[in-house]
Amino acid sequence: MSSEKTTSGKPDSGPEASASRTSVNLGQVAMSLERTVARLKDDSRLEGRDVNAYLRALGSILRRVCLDLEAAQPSRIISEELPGITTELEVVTKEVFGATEKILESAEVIDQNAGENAAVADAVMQIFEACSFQDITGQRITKITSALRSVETRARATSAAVDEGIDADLRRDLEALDRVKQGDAALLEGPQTSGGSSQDDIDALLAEMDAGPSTG
Amino acid sequence: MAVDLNMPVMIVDDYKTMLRILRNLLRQLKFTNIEEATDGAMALDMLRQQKYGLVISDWNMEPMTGIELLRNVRADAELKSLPFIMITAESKTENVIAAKQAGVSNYIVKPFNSETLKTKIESVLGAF
Repeated sequence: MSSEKTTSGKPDSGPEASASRTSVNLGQVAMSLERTVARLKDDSRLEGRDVNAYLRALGSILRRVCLDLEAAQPSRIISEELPGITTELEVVTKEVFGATEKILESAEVIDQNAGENAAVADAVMQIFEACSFQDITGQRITKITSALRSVETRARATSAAVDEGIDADLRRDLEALDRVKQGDAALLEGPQTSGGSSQDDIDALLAEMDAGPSTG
Repeated sequence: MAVDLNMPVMIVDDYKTMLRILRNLLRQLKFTNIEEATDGAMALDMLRQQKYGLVISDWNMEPMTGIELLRNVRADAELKSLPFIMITAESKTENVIAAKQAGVSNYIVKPFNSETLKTKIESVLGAF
């Protein structure tokens, strides 16, 4: 059980102690709530029946959250699954790069020996054009790898919240993920799957900017 | 006025494969003098050492991006009139506007074909 595991061997601390820490430990929060409920029960001055029931329910929810988070096995995702996916993606990138280079080498040899044959020259041109897929797929894989790193950081945070608390390094990583990119950096997103402009859209926009005074 | 196909053309991209593809496509368009740089800083150094007739640059590079290279080119008294085409996968309207405001001569979105490349070079340099 996660709450037992997370609280065993740790000093008995109330909500005040938890609040003063920079870490978040859901198991400890749940235990603190349970202790608060117990104190409310013993205090005859308080008409605490409603508060009591509410806090008990809250403690139960938190305990359930801890169990759910543990069931999601964030530690396994971090240590086993994500590194495997990243490695696979690196292999894919390397293999695609190698294959593209071989295709280009062969196309160059054909090109050099094509002479004045227009059909061969045209076919070679199309091979060159098609090989630009490697650049696009490379950028897409880079985006995926970056997204996986973000997932890894958030999974580490989830795991730490259940087990040990979030340390300063992890907090910094999380803040970096949440930081909004500004300036030129905000413009770099790589290939678009939706929301991007076509070459025709771009040509029209450039023509409009050339013609109109309002674009500054 | 016909384009001088022997003029030095600078291509800038951090993907070696893309440089190779661009070089081959430009050769097919009969350009004979093509030089390569793998990021904006390297390109700027080369542009300050020799006279070029055209720059074709990627946007997303480190440490100096294509748009930073463009701004440096436009801010340099010797280079400010240099034709500059951006070839990039960045296809959002904001990107096109930023590039235009920085002084780009034309903008090609990846993936592209040789016909688009030819058309955009012609729009900048004239027919060839």
